[in-house]
Order: sequence, then structure tokens, then C-alpha cells
Amino acid sequence: MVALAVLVLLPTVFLASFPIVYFDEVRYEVFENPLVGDENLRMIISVLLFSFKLSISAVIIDLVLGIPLAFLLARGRFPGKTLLETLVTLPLVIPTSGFGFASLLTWTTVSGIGGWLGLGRGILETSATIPGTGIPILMLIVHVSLTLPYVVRTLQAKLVELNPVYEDASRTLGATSLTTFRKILLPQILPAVFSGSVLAFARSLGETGATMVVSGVRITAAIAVVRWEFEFKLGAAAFLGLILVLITWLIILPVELLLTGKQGIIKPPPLIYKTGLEKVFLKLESKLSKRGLRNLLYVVCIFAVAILVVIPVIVVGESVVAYWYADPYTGKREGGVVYQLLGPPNYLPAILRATAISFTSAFVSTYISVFLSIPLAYIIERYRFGRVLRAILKIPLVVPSSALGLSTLLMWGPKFMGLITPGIWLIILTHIVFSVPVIVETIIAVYEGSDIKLYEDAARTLGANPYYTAEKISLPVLKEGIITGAILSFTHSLGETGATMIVMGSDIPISALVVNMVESLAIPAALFTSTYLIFISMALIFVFRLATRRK
Amino acid sequence: MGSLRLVDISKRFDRVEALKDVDLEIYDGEYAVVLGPTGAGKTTLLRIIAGLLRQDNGEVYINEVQVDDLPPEERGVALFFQNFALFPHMTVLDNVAFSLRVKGLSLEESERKAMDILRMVHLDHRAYSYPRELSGGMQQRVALARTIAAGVDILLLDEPLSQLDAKIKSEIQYELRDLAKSLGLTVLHVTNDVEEALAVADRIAILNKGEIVQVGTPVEIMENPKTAFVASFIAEMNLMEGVVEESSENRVVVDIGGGFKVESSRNGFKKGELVIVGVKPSSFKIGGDGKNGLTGKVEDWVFSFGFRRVTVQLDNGSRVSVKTERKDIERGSSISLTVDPRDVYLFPYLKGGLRTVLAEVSGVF
Repeated sequence: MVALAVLVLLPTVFLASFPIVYFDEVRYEVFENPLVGDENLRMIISVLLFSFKLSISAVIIDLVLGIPLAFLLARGRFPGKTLLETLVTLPLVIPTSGFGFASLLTWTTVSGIGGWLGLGRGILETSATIPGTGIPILMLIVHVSLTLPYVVRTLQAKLVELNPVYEDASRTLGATSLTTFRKILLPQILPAVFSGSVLAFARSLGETGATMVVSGVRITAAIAVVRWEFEFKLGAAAFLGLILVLITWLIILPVELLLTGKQGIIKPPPLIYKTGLEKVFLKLESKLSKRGLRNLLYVVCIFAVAILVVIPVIVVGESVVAYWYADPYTGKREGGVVYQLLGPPNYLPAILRATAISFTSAFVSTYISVFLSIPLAYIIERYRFGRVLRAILKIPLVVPSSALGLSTLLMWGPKFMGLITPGIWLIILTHIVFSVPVIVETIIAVYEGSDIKLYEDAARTLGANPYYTAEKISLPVLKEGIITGAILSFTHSLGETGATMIVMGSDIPISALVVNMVESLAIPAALFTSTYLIFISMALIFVFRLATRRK
Repeated sequence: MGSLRLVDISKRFDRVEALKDVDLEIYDGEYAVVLGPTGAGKTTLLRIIAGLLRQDNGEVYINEVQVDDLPPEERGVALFFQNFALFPHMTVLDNVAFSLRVKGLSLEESERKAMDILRMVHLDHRAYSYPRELSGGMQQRVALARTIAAGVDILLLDEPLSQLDAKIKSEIQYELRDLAKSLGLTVLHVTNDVEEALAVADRIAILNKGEIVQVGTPVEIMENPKTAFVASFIAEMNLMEGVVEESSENRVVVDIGGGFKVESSRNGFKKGELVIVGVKPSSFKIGGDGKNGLTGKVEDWVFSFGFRRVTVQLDNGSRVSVKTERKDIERGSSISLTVDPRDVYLFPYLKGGLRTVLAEVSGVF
């Protein structure tokens, strides 16, 4: 428990102390700067508003695409289902900066979709916005890809748990498939819709790695935290970080505590009958419930996943091949991958060193996190206050990672404890903060899906002592959850950018290296590193699938 | 109007053949029961009729209209689910009113009609409860009310009484039949419970391993089972293997081993043919000196309503069950049995013999 408090919980809340302890500094920078007045404050408000607009739009698109996809994955039986499932989840495990770069190429350069269509340029400008809203299209696309898995996975899990017999009953009682969805499924999955949306929203609010790569001129709140930290405007960064953490707390905690309750069913109000809307709905639903239309919807959603996830990965891989020896457009060798890696820019040693740092920190933080998580999962399942603990543990998952990084930096770093200076050890400490919740969640999922308590009781009555029971019964049953969690945490750690960039000091891991390369316009090197990063992650997933495949 | 006709329905799940060329006709207003052991394909059959599952082969006609391409909501049949499938997020009233509302009835009208139906099943006082707050018997009635409220002429009942305890079950099964008859509904009821089937059915179709093996009224099936499977499953006959020794117009003698010879007044079997002999437990007489004398030892007996069911180990090694009202039966004592040749049934021998038949009856194959 102490380890949990020090390593996981404290860093998430430590940020709050900074604006209080160093209030003068915050006031000086944010409110009463002698040079620019409250310019920083106005800046903070504007990036926050922008972030909100972006995240809300992303969540809306997530829901439109995610609900049919979740339904298809939960109820459908078709070849390639596992593939689709893997594709939807891919953005959860591939490093965000690499993915952001791949999306950037796909949409805004001639190497991407524009080139395929023979346009001679990208089909989008980086700065292109949706007319009338000021939301950059590219940023929105990237945020949708990165947050869609949260919506789909949450809904899918809920749908799988729901007995399809209710849908069958509704159909035989005369309801069309859409009416069935509205009246039977929706009320039962609404809590999942909420919690999926909240997760997606918080993730979008905190996304750093990919956003930095595609951001162009507009910056989100999460990026602002990282930038200001680099500019040593710690006061402003901490203040904004705190606001972000508070917002996520305010959204997450009530949703978690209210909706994960016993029933999880929301009753729709009878209002629509009064207004006569019900009849309109019924008519519309019976028109739209044709099998052909439904299949069309599925195809559109699958197509969207392909465009959002698959094409960027293909484009980035293809570009590495195209840029291998030289820039294919100018023919200059300076623009080739080989030149940048081995020639005067000499990125190869940096990449190798970054790889070593990434793997070491991912391995060590995952290893420590596993040992913290197993007892934690038990505490959560066995004790009453477990639910609250679980809700609190969700916070590191959704708090903007740059704010989290800043918090750990402030806590361990020179400003407060002065124990650890930025570098690989601080990276490890930071990664533990968000690895523990991931592993705990996967263990809990397995725990609740099995009758482990029953097996343990059986073992005890058959004469096994608690230690023997834990070793021979509990751990083997939970093995799958532990492995899944460890792999998720490992890949997450490899790809994490926001927090890592704040705490890394001079130990640059590979995900941050991609951002640096893009910012210093070393495009071929960035290409190579992104591909390298994506393929390492995909190889890991593949190995993991093989290892955990059940026979 | 509600008639139902199935033509050559077949369905496979991967390696299992769930239904094989099922032909069945159910007339308007009839209460028909499909009876079969667990795993015979009963639920699959109902799901195909309801349109929740597509058959590999064959056609479904409802009121002589082929419905194979219609979605469930347009077929005009209502399915009662084995575990009720009451919508957990709706009250009893909302559950019953569901089908009325999806047809576009107003809130008030649907509520009024749903209330009427709830009154019919004596549950109007629980209209605003949630399903989870009701007992199993009440949930069963709500599910029934909801099915009836769909306003269709054909009800498909999937083991509607299986979740109830024995006492309530015997009461409700008659109520169920009366209700259907008074509303003029056509019912297809599936179950694995023989007593239940015999009690409610106008006609019974016996389903075994995806095939319909016999169709008839309860009496016809009890008196004239066509196969050893039906004989054992419905009439609980004792089955023994044997070889035909003599065969004439009205007399067949079968050697069942151990020097025992059984005479039957049924014919149609040739000398030397392998057959299965069936005798109902109630057809044995204890200690008589008529024809077909068999001897053995009383192995055990159990008490049942007004009679004893005695297990006798015959001297040829086979074991039979005997139903008697005599009270002087003691374990381990010798016993002699006789049976009237008219009560000795003969069935064609099956590949795999008796063992296969008995396994099918208990649903293990």
C-alpha cells in the first residue's frame, strides 16, 4: 500500500501542490507578468477551449463509428473478425508519435493518399480546418484514430456480456432491428457508452505524441504543458497541468462511481411518446432496418478503420523504401534514409541508444508494475473501498500524460525532493504510474470473468494453505490477465511521449526521438524510426497473440 | 388463422447435424408439442420458425405463405423463451406493452391493453415491478403475457415450464393449455418432459437427433410406439435384445437368452431376425402362472405415489423395472414374473443395439 501511494497515487496529485507552494511564481507568470500582463492566462483559456472543441468532436465521431463496429465485433460471425479487432486496437499499442507521423505523411504529403490519387500533393493541408469550427482536420483524424479503440472496446465488452436473447425476444415481438437497438440495447449499454466516451475524451485531451507531430500552428492544452516546460515556464505549465488534471478528475470520478454501480441500466424518459416523436422514430426505423443498409453501414465503418489505421502504416512503410537511398523527388542523397542514418547527420547511434533506453525503461517499469499490481487487484476485489481505489487508479490512465510527467518531475525532481534528476530513472518512475493501472485493470477483468474465488475456496477446503493456493490456483488462473497487462504496459511504455519528454532529460527514448526528428525536419530519419517503432510494436503484439492463444 | 407447415427443414452446426429433413404440419387452433431429449434440436427448430436462424434447407410456411425471406418481426409468430428473456430495464407493464408500442400504439392505449392481458394471468397487481423482483412463476406468467400481447395467432413456446418447480408446473401446464384454447391460438410447445407433453398436447411429435420419429396423439404414441426409442422415452418400456425363434401369423417367439423365451402377439418379424423386446413396467404380473414366465431376484425397490417400482435382476442377466401395488416385496428375494403376449412389443433392431437407444433417451450421444 505504501509503495502504491508513493509510486502511483502521489505523483498524480502532487501537481496540485505546486501552484499553491509556488503561488508567487504562478501569479507572476500567469496573471501579472510585467512584460505581457495576463497574456499567458488568455493563452491558457484559448488552448483549453480549443482542446475541448477538438476532443468533443473526436468523441462524437468515435461514437458514430464505434457503436456499429462494437456491435459487429460483439455479435457478428464473419471471417476476418480477429483481424478487424486487432486493427481497431492497434492505435492503443503503436507508439503515438510514430503513428502521428504516419498520419501526417498519409494526409498531407505526396507520399500518401494524395500521391496515390495522382494529385501531386497531399489531399489536405496541415492547417486545413473544418469550415466554421476552426478544428484542424488532420488533428481530428489522428485523435479519432487514437481514441476510437476506447469506445469500441468498452462497448464491445458490454455487448458481449449482454445476453442476445433480449434482442431475439424483441425481434419476435415485432420490433425492427433499429427499434430493438433503441429500445432494448441502448438503455442497457448507455453506461458503457458514457464510460467509453469519457475515456476517449480524456485520452484526446491528454494526447501529446501524435498531436505534437501533426499540430502545425494550433496547439492543444497537453502540448502547451510540454512546450512551457521546455521554455522553463514551470508556473504556467503547472497551472495548466493542474486545470487539466482537475477537469479529468471531475469527469471521471462521478462517471466511474455512479455508472459502475449494481444495475447499470438507464431508463429512457417517456417524453417521446408525449410529443409523438415515437411514431416518427418507428416509421424511420422500419424504413432503415433493411439488411442491405445495415451491411452498408458496417462496410463504411470498416472502411473508415482501414483509412484511419491501416493506410498510415502502409504509407510510412512504403515511404521508407522510397527514401532508402535518396529523396525520390529531388534525387539528392542527403534526403535518403541511408545518408541520414550513416552519413554526416549520423542518426544511427542516437536511434540505437534510444532503443536501449526505451527497452530498458519499458522492461524495468513493467517488471516493477506487475509486482505492484497483483496484490492491488486483490485488494480491489476483496475490500469494500476497492471500488474507490479502482476509480482513483483510472486517473493516471486518462490524465494528460504531459501533466502527469510534470507532476512526477516536480515531485521527485530538484524542485521538491531533489532525489532524482531527469533521466532514465525518472522515466521508469513515471511509466510505473500509468503501467500499474493498466495491469490492474486487465487482471481484474480476468478475475471477474472467472470463478477464482470459488476455486480458491475449493482449494482451501481440499487442504491447501493460502500460500500454496495462491501459487497453484490463483496465479495460474490470472496468468492471462497478467501477461496481457504486461504486454500492454510494455508497448505503452515504448510509445509514450507526453510524460516521457518532460522527464527524460538527456536520455532520449525512441518515441521522443521521432518528435525531435520531425521538429528538426529530418524527415527520412523520422520515417525510418517511425516504421521501426511501429513494426517492433506489431511484432510484440504478434508474439503476444501467439503466446496467449488458448488451445 | 394460424397454421404452420415445415417442409424438409435441415440445419447443420459445424459438425453437428441439428435437424434432418423435418416435415411437420400444425393445424389452426391446435396445441402441438415437440418432445425430445436434451440436444434433439428442439430450440433450433423454434428459432428457425421464428426467423432468428436460417435453415440450410427446406421451407417454412405460415398460413400457407412461405416466410423464409421475412425477418422475425414480420413473420407473425411470437416466441416464448426458455429463460423468459424479460427486458431487465423495463417494468412488467412495459414488457407486456412492448410489442404494442413498437406497432405504434399510443402510451395510454398500449398500457390499457397490456393491463387487460396482465389481468388474464393474474399479475395486474405487479404491473409496476421489475422482472428481477418477481418469483420464477410470476416471471413465467409475465413472459407468457408478453408473448400473447404480440397479438399473433401462433405461439412458439420453448420449454415454457422448465424453470418452474414440480408442484407449480403441474398446475400451470393446464392453465397454459386452457388459455391458449380460449384465445383460439395455435401453439407449438417444445419440451423434454414426457408427462408435460402428454398432459397438454393435442398431438405430439417426437424429435430424436434432429429427426421426427413419430407423430400422433398422446394415446396413439403411448399405445403404439413405432421405435424402441419412443417406447423407452415415452412409455418407459423395459427393453431387451433377442432373436426370433418362431414366427407365424399372430405369434412370435423370441429367445432373450438364459433359456427365457418370450411370446408376443405382434408379427412382422422373420425367424432368426434380431429384435428388441419391449414391456411396460405395469404389464408385468408378479407370481402368476400364465405365459411368458420369467424368474429373477429383487434387487431394489423404491416407493412412488401409491405403487412400488421394483428393480428385478432376471436370471438371464438383464434388468427390468416392474410397477406393482403389492407391499410384500423384499430385497434379495426370488421373484417370478409373467406377461400377457398382447403386452409384449417388438421393435426392429438398431445398429449398436440397446445401448444406443438408451443413450439417446438420456440425451447422451
